[in-house]
Amino acid sequence: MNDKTHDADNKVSARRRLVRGVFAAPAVMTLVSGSALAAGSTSCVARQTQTQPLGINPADTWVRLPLYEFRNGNNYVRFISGSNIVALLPAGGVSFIQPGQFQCVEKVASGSNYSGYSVGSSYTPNPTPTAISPAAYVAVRVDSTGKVLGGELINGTNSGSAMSFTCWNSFGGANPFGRQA
Amino acid sequence: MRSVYSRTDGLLVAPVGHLWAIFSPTSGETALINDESAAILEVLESGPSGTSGVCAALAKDSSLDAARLNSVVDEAWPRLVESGLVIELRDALSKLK
Repeated sequence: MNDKTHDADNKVSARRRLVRGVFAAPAVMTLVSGSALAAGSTSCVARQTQTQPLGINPADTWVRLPLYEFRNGNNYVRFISGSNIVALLPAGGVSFIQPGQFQCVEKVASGSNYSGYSVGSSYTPNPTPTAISPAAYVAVRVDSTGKVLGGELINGTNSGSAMSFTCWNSFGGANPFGRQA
Repeated sequence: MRSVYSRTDGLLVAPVGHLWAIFSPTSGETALINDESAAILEVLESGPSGTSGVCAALAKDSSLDAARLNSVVDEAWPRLVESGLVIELRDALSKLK
């Protein structure tokens, strides 16, 4: 890489690549850095994984996934869908969650409400939780090999825990649900 | 007074397919930009310039009338500044006061 868009040696020039008669709107698309996003959250993610600390690789990418919930008044539990995560995988990709499963990422419930659900655990509820409206999202981490990590263990097994809501919150500040790659 | 823009020092640029990858040491971010954004930055390699100066240079490259490019280039500056690729010299000078 160099400090010019036209290199004297290879003579690659953006100005020369312009199509005569056409000048599209100049575009700048910032690439999201996994390290930049996770800089303040690495320790949070590390604490949430089951065994080994989780490394944050700058080559990782983040994608946005919708949240689902069960709600009873002010009591609710929220989930990410295994089907949505698996849909991101390349052929042969591995995930910490399977299609049809829902992993609990947040629980706000008093008394015995939703006592059967714990943050970090996966379930196959029937009926399934419903998509939140207006839509809410979380960010899921995908490494450079296409592996969906979430709370993936560093040793490469496909078991893992979802980050607790506090960890998701640390990625997006006060509004993690709007975060996207 | 219309603003004048300067290319950020130390930009690292490399062609990636039909786009350009560019790293800004100011923002610490890497971005993908199209030929049009990259062409604006190439014009600024010669020195700071405002919209009219950039359009005059790009008009020759694109065979388009400079006036037609004016609004397109004018609207591009905020994003280029936000991404750390250019500096608005009016702001830079005011910070020295």
